[in-house]
Parts: sequence; structure tokens; C-alpha cells
Amino acid sequence: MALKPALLTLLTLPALIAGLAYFLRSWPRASHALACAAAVAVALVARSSPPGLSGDLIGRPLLFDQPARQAFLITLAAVAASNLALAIYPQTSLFAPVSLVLPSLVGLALSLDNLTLACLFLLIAAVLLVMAWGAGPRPRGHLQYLVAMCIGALILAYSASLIDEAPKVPNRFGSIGFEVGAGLLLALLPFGFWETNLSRDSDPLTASLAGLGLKPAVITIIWRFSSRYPWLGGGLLPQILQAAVFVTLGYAMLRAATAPNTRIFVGAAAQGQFALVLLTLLPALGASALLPLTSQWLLARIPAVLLLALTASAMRPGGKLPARLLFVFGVLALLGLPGTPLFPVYFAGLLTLRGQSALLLPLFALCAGSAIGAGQLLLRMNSSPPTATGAEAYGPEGSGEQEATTAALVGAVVLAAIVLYLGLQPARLVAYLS
Amino acid sequence: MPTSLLANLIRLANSLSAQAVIIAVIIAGVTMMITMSEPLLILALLTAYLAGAVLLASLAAPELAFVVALLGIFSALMMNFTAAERRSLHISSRRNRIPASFRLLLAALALWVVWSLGLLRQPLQPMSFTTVWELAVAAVALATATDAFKAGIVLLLLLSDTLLYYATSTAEVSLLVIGVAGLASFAISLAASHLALLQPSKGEPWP
Repeated sequence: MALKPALLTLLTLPALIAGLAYFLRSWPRASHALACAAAVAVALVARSSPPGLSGDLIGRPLLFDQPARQAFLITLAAVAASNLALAIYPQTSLFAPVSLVLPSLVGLALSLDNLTLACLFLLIAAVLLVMAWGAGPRPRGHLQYLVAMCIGALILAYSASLIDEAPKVPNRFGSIGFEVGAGLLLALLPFGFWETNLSRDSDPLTASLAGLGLKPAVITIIWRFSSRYPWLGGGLLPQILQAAVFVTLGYAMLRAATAPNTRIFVGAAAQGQFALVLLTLLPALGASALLPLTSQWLLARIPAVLLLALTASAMRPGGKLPARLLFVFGVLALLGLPGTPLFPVYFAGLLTLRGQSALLLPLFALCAGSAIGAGQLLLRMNSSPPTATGAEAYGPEGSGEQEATTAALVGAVVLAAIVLYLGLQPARLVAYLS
Repeated sequence: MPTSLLANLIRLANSLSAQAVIIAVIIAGVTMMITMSEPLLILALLTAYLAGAVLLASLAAPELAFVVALLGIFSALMMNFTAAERRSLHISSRRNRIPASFRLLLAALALWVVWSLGLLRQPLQPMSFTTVWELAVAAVALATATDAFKAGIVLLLLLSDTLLYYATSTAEVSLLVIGVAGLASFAISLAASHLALLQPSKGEPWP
């Protein structure tokens, strides 16, 4: 039976429980366990609630549509996973309460119909995250992140005010502001260098919450408002976004390949991973205003696989299990397997910092889950005709386009198998290359 | 009575001339670009917020001006507590790899750019001038800031500038937006204070 909670109560519930987690901070295990349990409970309620919940926030309408629910659930999953890991390996910080406030703010931003308000809620969420990370040896990355997020959100809010003056008339300054603000929030402009610095200067496990919790929300908001103002989706925006993704990917992979230690490798590769997620997640959300939805999105991953293969030489033959696992998950993520794009960062970060043997079981479970997801994806593609959403995702050309997509998928699988084979034996790859 | 207090404040704000407000904003901006002194930075931030409130009182709704003034006072107080804590922990922000003469040069350049845009010619447009000038100040100060405390102050200035622009450019100002912007300013103050109180490790330049 579907629950029908009040929307505002559902969205603010994690923030209310955060207060309790704050008072439990003297017992880090209890605080993280509470945060994990609360995130799971709220996620279950949100998942079982009927789609299209509505409410209001001081006179402003709130609508919890399917993309909003999807991004809210991703944030809750990230919060639950990170707090579970920290309940096992506790650390003294404000991570538990702050991470619980994050889904509330993200949920409110996603449910509001006003871009300025959404940007301000995202700004608060991004800024509060700074306090969740423990004191690193050199918090330069934290400061760079704070400045980038503030400027990005404020530029987006500025452009929203400009656009709202005459929503139907194309506004050049509004459009540029929208692109620059979104680029900064998604760490694509300029190359998101602070993301790698953030991973270097802090605990990658906790720092990756910024990517896992905030960025899907930013993507959803961009998709929603670029659909509302159709002139925003036209012009150069899709091309600029794609170019930014590829340049960021190249930069991140280059930095990963030259990284002196695993932690920076994880951070840089995480950024590259997210750039790839952008390519895969947007079509899944039906973001037709931003990227043309044809099978090209699948083909577009092939250069990314090749770039990832180049970074394999950074992995020494002697070990570095985290980097190798990241590599495997990265290739899986490139194939667009359900659930994989957002998780490699987490588990690689987890492995970088924590004892490795205790994580073999969860990793095995994740691998099994990925394999099941891959099987389901292949079965669905071969058996069922495309649904309304699927048809849209495969483009207007219909079955011919679907055949091209299947061919591209098969090609990507073969390529990924080759890359996996060579990538897990970097010495052999280096020998081939030389 | 809150109503009479508000009325008195509006009367006081309206009695200030546009020139006085612009001079205050220019002094606050130049201070923010040049100095590394924490008390001066806090004073400059407070001046910028209060100048914004005065402009709002005369050009937009007085209630908004009151809210912006309160935001400025509370943000400045929070940063002042942080500065006091930094002094007790012996954390200094006076070291800056960028020389003061270069910062002064950049400040002069920013002033010249705003002057050349024609915003200081008669008839004076205090709101347009303040918005553009604060943006220029934020750009220069952020580019030359090497300390979380100063970066936090500049981010607060940027937020107040956004608020000012929103309150004067939108036909129907939403109090919810103003309230959420207020929450954002407290969040920025907290985050900047948190970073400003982190101790740099030995031998490491900060940040």
C-alpha cells in the first residue's frame, strides 16, 4: 500500500533527525548509525509514496515529480552509504548531522518552481557540506570548493532573476549566466580542478558526498528549467556542455595518470567519472533540452573508454587494489549499467582510506549486483519494445535507431572487455604501447 | 514599538544623501580589496550591508532594508567572534603573497573601470553603481585573497550584492527568497569561520 505523507514533512524529516544526530556526536558510532537508519527510512517512505506529491512552503507550491524523487533518493542513498561506512570506521566530525540536512535542502530545491530559490537552497547545502569534512592537513581544496559553489549558485540566481523578468524572450546575459553557473556547480568550468584538490585535502569518502548528493540535483534543476525556457536549450548550450564534459574528462584523466598517490588518483578519476555520468544520466532523465537523445550518447563513451585505458599505465603492476577496482567499476560505469556510475567513487575512496579485507564482502555484493543489473539491461533491450520514454531516449527514428543503439552497446562491451583485459595488466599494456 | 522604530530608521535612511552612501560604499570596497586586517574587513562588510539597507529603504520596501541591515549586523558579529577566536589561537591572516602595492593597483583599476562605465556621472544612480562596484570589489578581493577569513567576507559581500540586485530588479519581491538568502549568509559565515579556524600544518602555506 502506498503511503501518502505530507510533502513538506517528508522533505524536512531528515533535517529534523539531524538535530538528534548532532546531540549524539559524542558517540560517533551512534550518530552515524542513526543518520544511516534515518536516511534509509526516509528513502523507503519516499519510494513508497505515490508520484506527484504536492504541498507548499510559505505560499510557494512544491511538486515532487519523478526526477525530483529520483535525485532525492540518490542523495539519501549516498548519505546512508557514507554513514554506514563511518559507523564501522567512526571519525569525530559533524558529518552525520550535516549529511542528513543535505537531502532536505536538495529535496526542497528540487520541488520548488522558482530557480532563484532552488539555487539558494543548493547554495546552503553546498556551503554546509564544508563543515561536514574533518580538518585535513591542508584545507585548500575546501576553500576552493566553497568559493566555486558560492559563485556558481549566485551567478545562477542572478541569471534566474534576469530570465524571470521576461521568461519567453531570449536573454543573452541570462543564458551566459545560466551556463557559467551550471558549469561551476557541476565542476566543469574550468575543468573542476578544485574537485581533485578537495579529494587530496580531505577524506575522499566524505568529500564525494558533494558529487553524489549535489550534482544529480543540479542536473535535474538544469534539465527542468532549460525545459521551461526552451530558448535556453537551443543555441550553443548542448555543444558547450558536451565540450566541457570532454575537456574536463581529459584533464581529470591526465591528472589521474600523473598522480603521485592513490588518493589523488581517486579524486581525479572521480571527477572524470562524474563527467561521464553527465553523459549517461541526462538521457536517463529525459533531458532532451540539453543533449540530443540519440544513440550517439552511447557511442560518445568510446573515446572516454580509450582515455581511461591510457590511465591504466598509472597503475603499477605491484598492486594498488583501490585503483584497480576503480578502474573495473569505471569501465562498468561507462557501459551505463544501472547503479554503477555513482558508486565506484565511493568504494574506491573507502578502500583508499580503510582496511581492505573487511570490504571484500560488500564489494563482492556490489559486483554481483552490477552483474545482475547488466543481465537485466541486456534482457530488457532484447525482449521488450521501447516504451514512451525509451522511444524518446532512442530518438525519433524508432527501431532503426534502437538497432544502432544495440550495435553501439555490443561494440562498447567488446571494447570494454579489451580495455579491462589490458587495463588489469598494466605492464602488458605498457609493453604494447611501447 | 517596532513600527515606530522602523519609521525612525526609514526617516534616518532617507535623510542620508546618495553621495554619502556612494562614498561609504567606495571606502568599504577599497578597504576590502587592500587590507588583510580582520577588524577592518568586518567593518567594511558591515558598511556595505548598511549602505545596501539605506538604498533599499529609499528605493524598495523598508521591511527589506530592515532585514538586510539585521543580516549584516549578525553576519558581522559572527565573523567578529571568529576573528577573536583566531586571535586567541594565534592564527594570522596578515601574510599575503600578493604585495599590498599590487592590491592597491588593482583597486585603482577597478575604480577606474566603474568610473568609465559612467555610473558616477550625474544624475547619480546609487543602486546601479553599488551593484557593479561590489561585483568588481568581490572579483578583485577574491582573486587576491589567500585566507579563508577574507574569502568568507567577500562571499558575504557577493551575497548581499545579489540580494540588492534581486530586491530592486524584481517586480514582486518574495520574502521567502530574502529569508532563504539570509539563511545562506549564515551558512557562509559558519563555513568560512570553520575554515578560518583550521590550523595550518607546519611548513605549509595557507591555504
